[in-house]
Amino acid sequence: MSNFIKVPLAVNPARSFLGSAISVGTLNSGYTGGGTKVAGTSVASGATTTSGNGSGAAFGIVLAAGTFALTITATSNIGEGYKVGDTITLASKAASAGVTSFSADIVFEITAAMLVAIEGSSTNEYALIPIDNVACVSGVSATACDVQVLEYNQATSSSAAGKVTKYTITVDDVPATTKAALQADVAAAIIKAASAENAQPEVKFTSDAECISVVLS
Amino acid sequence: MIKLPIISSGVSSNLVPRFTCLNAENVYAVSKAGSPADVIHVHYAKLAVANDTAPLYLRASIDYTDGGSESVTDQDIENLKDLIKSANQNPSSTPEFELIGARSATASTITDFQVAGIEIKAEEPYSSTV
Repeated sequence: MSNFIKVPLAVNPARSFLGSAISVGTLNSGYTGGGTKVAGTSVASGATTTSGNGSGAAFGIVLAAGTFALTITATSNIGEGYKVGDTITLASKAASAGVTSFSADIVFEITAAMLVAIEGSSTNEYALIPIDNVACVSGVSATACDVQVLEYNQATSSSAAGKVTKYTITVDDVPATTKAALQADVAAAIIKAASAENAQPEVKFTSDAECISVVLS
Repeated sequence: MIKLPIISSGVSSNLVPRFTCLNAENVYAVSKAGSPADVIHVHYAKLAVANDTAPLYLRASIDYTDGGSESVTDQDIENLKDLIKSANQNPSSTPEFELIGARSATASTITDFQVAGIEIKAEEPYSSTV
């Protein structure tokens, strides 16, 4: 009978915004405020404020002509520590020829689609990794480790390619753990499972690091 | 499954030893590599499914490259072979493998005898005569 380890998936971890364009909504839907709005090219948000504990995110803001659909793009400052349900306040922007402007602050609520993707949800709280064929646990970085399996990677089945199947466990960078701690945390669960048939132990992450995905490749 | 101590640099607040793990099943050879020798290769031959005739050949490279000196000795290879045999005789056991040099290491040199990296790769069948 196979044995497994359970990797807890964070349901709503504090994390960063996507680095790509994010559609926030249209007038009267998706955001509030704005006062007198003028559509135009992108305007830099500067520092933003939030109802939660996130910080650091800054956007290029674009209001579309006619609909005043709001699009933000976190081109370089994706921030950290934001959660679904927090609100973001974009400070008003003075009118400038051809550039997006709004006379009052705009407030919108963060949705899951705006943040870095995660695998966990209220109905998907764990990823299961079968340990029977696990070869070893290899540290990759402070936010990722590989559980390598004694199987060729099917996409590169030639032995010359040298690649094997692996589960990559990725955690968010906040709260921070370390490469060694992450590797050891996962290995500890596998060692426990190997010594106790059907124990199905759960990985306990150092510093309460939050797992955002487990990907088989 | 065998436990291997890993280098825990950056975890100054936690002195508890940390380990990674290595599968002890389907091993057909153990060898050392590197110059100076600081890598252990554990060679696996494993049937993908029960009725396969050609096994998969894979190799775990356990890298002790931290200091500039030789970490792995011939006796270490023999000790690991013995430990693998022992682990297979007791499937639920998870013995720890430690290099001989670790026993006389100081706080400043112990990382020379701890695992700096471990990785599995596919390989051609291993032969000690090659």
